[in-house]
Amino acid sequence: MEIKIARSELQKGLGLVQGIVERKTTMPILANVLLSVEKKALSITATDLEVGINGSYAADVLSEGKITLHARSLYDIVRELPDDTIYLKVKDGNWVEIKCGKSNFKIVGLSPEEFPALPTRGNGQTQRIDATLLKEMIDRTAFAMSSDETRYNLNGIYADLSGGEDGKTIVMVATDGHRLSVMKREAGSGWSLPKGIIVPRKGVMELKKLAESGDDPVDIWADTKHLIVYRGNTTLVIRLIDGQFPPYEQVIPKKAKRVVSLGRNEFIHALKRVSVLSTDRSRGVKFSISPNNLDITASNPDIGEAREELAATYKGDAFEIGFNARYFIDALSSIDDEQAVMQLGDDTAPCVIYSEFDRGFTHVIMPMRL
Amino acid sequence: MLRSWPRAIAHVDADAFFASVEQAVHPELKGRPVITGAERGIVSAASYEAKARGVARGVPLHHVKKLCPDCVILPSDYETYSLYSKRMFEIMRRFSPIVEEYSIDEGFCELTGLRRLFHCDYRGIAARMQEAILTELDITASVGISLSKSLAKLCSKFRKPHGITAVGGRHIHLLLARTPLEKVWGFGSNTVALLAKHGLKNALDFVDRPESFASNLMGKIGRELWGELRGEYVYKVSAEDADRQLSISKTKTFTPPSADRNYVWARALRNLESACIKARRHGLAARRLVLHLRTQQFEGAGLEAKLVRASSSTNELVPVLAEMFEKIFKPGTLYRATGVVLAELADERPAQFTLFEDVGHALASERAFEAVDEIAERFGKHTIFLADGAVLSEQHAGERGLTAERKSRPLKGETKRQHLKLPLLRFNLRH
Repeated sequence: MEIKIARSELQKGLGLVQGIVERKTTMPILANVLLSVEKKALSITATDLEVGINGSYAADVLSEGKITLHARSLYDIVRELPDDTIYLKVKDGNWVEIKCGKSNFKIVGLSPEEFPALPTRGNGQTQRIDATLLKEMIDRTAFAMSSDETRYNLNGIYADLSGGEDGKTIVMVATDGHRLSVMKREAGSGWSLPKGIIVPRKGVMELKKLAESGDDPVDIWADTKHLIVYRGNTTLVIRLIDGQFPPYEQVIPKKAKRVVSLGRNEFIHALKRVSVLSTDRSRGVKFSISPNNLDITASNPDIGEAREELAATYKGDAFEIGFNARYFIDALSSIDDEQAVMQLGDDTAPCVIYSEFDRGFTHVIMPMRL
Repeated sequence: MLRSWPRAIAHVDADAFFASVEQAVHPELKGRPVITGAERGIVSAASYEAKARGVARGVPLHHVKKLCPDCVILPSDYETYSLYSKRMFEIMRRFSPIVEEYSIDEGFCELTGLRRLFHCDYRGIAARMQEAILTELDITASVGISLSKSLAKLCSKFRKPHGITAVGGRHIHLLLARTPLEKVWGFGSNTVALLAKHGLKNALDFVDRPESFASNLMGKIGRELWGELRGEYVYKVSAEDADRQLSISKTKTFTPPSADRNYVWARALRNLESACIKARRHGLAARRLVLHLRTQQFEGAGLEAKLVRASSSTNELVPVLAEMFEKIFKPGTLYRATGVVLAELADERPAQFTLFEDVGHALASERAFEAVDEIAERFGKHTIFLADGAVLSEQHAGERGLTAERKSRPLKGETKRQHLKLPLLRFNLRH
C-alpha cells in the first residue's frame, strides 16, 4: 500500500474515529484503525465491537493494500504535521513510513487480517431521514438515558422505526427509571424498519455527531441486531442492545388532576438557583403550589435554605410535591416553549411536561419524597 | 525532623473483651481460663489465662476441652458486652469529644492539645483513661498513643494486656523497625508478599522508600498508609458514630450445621429481618444486598445484588434474597452460618420514586413494616416475622439450649423481652 493524501483529508478521517477506538481494551487491535486502499480512495475503519465507523477519503493511490495503525498515535502525528501532502507507505513486517515535508516517521502496525470485520447490511431498504430532525429527536430524549450499568436495557434510546399505522411516524424514547422522554415525529413516509430496537449510549452519541456534521440527509437501515447509518462517504454501524424496553406507554398518565403553567425561562433559572441548596446526591426541591403561585424551596442541613416565589397559572387546592430539580432543568432546557406546562396528580404521581411547539414531545418525571 | 507531638491519637483496645466482661460480671471467674462462644461451637474470645494455655480465637470447643480441661466455657451475652462497650466509649468521651467507635472493643480518641487541660503528658492521659476503665468497668484495656491512627493501632498492640505505649515523632523509627509488615493495619497477605518481593522486611523499610514507591505499588491506599506510618495524620478520627454506617451485616452461626433447605433459608431470612430492622431504626435504606452461606468445611459462597431503588422494607428485599439463595444453596451440603449484608446505605429520605413500579405497593409495605417495628418495640424483636422463619425454634435459645445467664435468670418483674438495660453482677454474698 502506497498513497499520497492531503493532510486535512487524513486528519478529518482520523478525527471522526477517535471517539470510537477503545483506549483501555483487552484486544490491542481495537486501539488501531484499519487503513485500506482500493481504487481511488483511502478507507478508514475503527470499531470497539459495539460501534463501528467507516469513511472513505480521496487519495492519490500509488498501490493498493491494507494496514492497521495505533489510532491515537497516528492522529497525534498527523495533527502536528505541516499542511501539505502526506506520503504513506507500508513496508515489510507491518512497518509504515510516513513522510510530510521534512518530517519522516516510521511506525509499526498490526496485521490487517486481525481487524474484525464490520457487520454488513442484510435485506431490506434503507430509509431516508432529515439530519436536523434526527438530531432534534436525539437531543430531546438522550439526556434521560440511564447510566446505571446494571440496567443495561435502559442504557440507550429505544426506537420504533416501523412508521406506525401510516408508515410516517417514528418514535424515540429514553428513561432512567425516574424520568421518561418520548419523541414522536413524522419523518417522510414508507417506514417499515423494526419496531423495538435499543441503540446503546455510545451509538447514540456517534449518531448525533454524524447528524450534526452537515445538512444532507441520513439513510438508515436496521434489523434486530444492528443499526446502520449512511451519510455521504461515512458509514456508522451500531450493535443494538439485546434487551426488553419497559412498557413506557403505560406510565404516561392519561388524565391530569392539576395543571400548572409558568414562564419556562424564569422557572429554569429559579430551579438552578434554589437547587444550589439541595443536597448533592438527591437534588431534591419542594414545589408548594397554590392558586397562581409556585414556591420552590430547598434546604441543606450543612449550608442553609432557599426559597423562590414564581407567578404561575393554576386553579385548585394548595399542595406540595418534591422533585429532583435536575430532571426539570434537563427537560425544560430541551424545548423552546415560552411557557412550561406541567400536569400533576397527587404527591406520589408522575408529572407530565408537554411542549406547545413540539407536539411530539412528552416528558414524565417521578416525584421524590423529601 | 518530626516534632514529637504535632498531634496525638490514642487507640484504646480492650483486652480479651468478651472474656474480660464475663470475668467482670462473674468475679469468681477471675484468674480462671474463661472462654465465650459456647453457642457457636468455637471460641469467640479467650481470657488471658486461657490464652496462656494455648487457646486462641476460632478454635473448636472440643479441642479446647483437651487443651484446657478446667476452662469455663460460656455462651455469648452480646447485650452485656455492648453495654460495657458503650460505657467504655463514654469514659473515653470524658477525655475528648472526638472518639471514633471503631468496633465493639476498640476505638480512637483525638487527644491533641489536652496536655494543658489535664496537667500531664499524653501518656499520663492514657493512664488516667485506663485507670477509669479499670475502676469503673473492671476490665483492662491497652492504649497506644502516636501521631496517626495507624501508628496508634500499632502501639496499642505493642504491650498487652493493660499496657500503654506512647511513641512520639522522634521515636517512630524505633517502633517501625520492630514491626513486621503483616502487623501493619491495612497490609493483607497479598500486599506483604508484594512488598517482600521488593526486599522489604519491616514497616521501617516501607517508609524509608520514597513516596512514589508506595503510590506506584499500591495506589492511593499505599500513599496514605505510607504517610500514616511516617506520622502524617491522614485518616481522621471521625466522631460520627454508627449513625452513618456504610453497611449493616448480620451473620449467625448455628450448631449443629444443617443441610435442610428450609432451615438454612429461614436462617438467612432472619438475618435479613434483623438487618432491615437495624437499617430502619437508623433511617437508612440499602442499594445493595449481599448473601453468603458458610459450609461446615468453612467454605463460603456469596452473591450480591444491586437494587433498583434503595429500600429497607423486608418484603421488598425477600425476592432478591430468595433468588440469590436459589443460586448458591447446594442440596446435600451442610451449612453452619448464613450472613446478610445491607450495603451502600443512604438516608431513607429523600427518596426518588421510580416509574416502572407500583408506588402504592412500596408505600404500603413501608407502612406495614412501620407497624412491625412498633409491635417489636412493645413485645420484642421478631414478634412478627416472615412465615418461612417459623421453622426456627424458640428465639435466642441456642440449639445447644444455651442462653446467656442474664437472659435465663431474669430479675423479678422482668420478661425475656423487657428487662433493665444494665449488666448484672452475679455473685453470692456469704455471711
